[in-house]
Amino acid sequence: MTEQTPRASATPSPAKQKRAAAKAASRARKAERKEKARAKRSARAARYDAFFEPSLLAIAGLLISIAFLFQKATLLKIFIFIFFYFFAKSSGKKTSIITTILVASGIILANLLVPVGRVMAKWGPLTITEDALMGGIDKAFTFEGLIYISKASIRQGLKLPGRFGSIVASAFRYYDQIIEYRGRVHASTFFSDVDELMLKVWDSAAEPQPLTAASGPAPAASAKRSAWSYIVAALLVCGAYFLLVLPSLLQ
Amino acid sequence: MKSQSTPVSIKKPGHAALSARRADLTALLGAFCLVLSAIEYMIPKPLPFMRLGIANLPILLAVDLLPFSWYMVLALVKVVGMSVISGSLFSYVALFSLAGTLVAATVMWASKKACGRLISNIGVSILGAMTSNAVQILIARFVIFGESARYITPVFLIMGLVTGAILGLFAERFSASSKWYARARETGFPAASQPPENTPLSNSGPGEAHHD
Repeated sequence: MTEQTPRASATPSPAKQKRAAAKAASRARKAERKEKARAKRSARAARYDAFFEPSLLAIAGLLISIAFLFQKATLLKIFIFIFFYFFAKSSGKKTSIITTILVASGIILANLLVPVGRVMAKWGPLTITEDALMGGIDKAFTFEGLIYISKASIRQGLKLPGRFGSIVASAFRYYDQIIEYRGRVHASTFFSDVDELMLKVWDSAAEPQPLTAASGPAPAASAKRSAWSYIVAALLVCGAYFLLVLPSLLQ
Repeated sequence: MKSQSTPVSIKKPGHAALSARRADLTALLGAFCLVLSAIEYMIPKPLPFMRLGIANLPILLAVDLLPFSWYMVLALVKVVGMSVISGSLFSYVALFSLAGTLVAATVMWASKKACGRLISNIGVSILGAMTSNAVQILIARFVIFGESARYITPVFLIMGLVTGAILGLFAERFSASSKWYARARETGFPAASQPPENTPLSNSGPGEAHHD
């Protein structure tokens, strides 16, 4: 039966070959684009980390988050959210407009399910009410805004103080060892492989660093930052609190 | 319970050494929480805080490995570490994680200590997952979804039941066969456990070697 199979069916037709080549080229272009984007992001992250001290960023981020959380004016909140988005992007963190829109839409839609306030429109079984819509928009932008300001202000070289900070630092050291583990975990011997991994990682930490050296998973450049970073951080915090009181100043 | 089962041959380490060993074990378990959360991060989810909960596996295993105070430190290490890695420390995501993890950890610990051998890891895990999801829905009710939170409640609770059972099954099997787990038990409660007969393990954990 196999002898009777025509030769043409064994080798793909020219049209098929062309399609496969086009697919491969498209994949290669996509991979190249991704690689370029990753390199650009890494460069941005390096510049950002060289400019700001992680602890300075964390304190500034915390203060800005509080101001953002208590911002009552929805329009201002959206404006600040856009700023946070680009700030997180400039810090080299991965950002996705599509995911942001999807999550925000989900939150707004969920809020619309329970009608509150004046009816604005009816769309099939869904009644769009004013208070539910505004509440949904406010919650969605608060949720997303806090994620982006957090992404921009929490860097992996952040040092946490005290004994708890030293335990977190120790956890990060173990984390690095697990990530760099050379052994493999197979599905057929999953439990024994995981067990071996745990034993090896624990035993390999025979000479740990002092527990006082608290640091995140990938310590940032330790070069001394310029005074400009403190000025920029202070300006950002002041800006956030100015926007917080702005609506009451205008009234 | 611990002192009654203390074998004569096992030497009790000093308080400082024991504390250092427990800190080391907490850090290792915390690291596994971070690895599992990194794996979980790659799994697509409809909402950022809607997780499968695989990062809670080390916390489930730690019920029998650490005393309560260290156990809660582990829960905090997991939340803070995850938030630092994902950069979500100042967001609602961290709030969901903190509340869910701390309450679930407390419930898992209490259920295990109250029921002892009457409850398996599967039961403990299901209780933890359901509690964690219930707490997260409650917070979502106030900060994100409002009254509509009731519509996602059944999905969340069913998800908790399924993932809790799967994690519990894994923990049950792993704790029964793991040499590391037996050794870690010695480190956490040096007076309470003995290595199984078929695993010739030394009494001193790596933590002791590190810090003494």
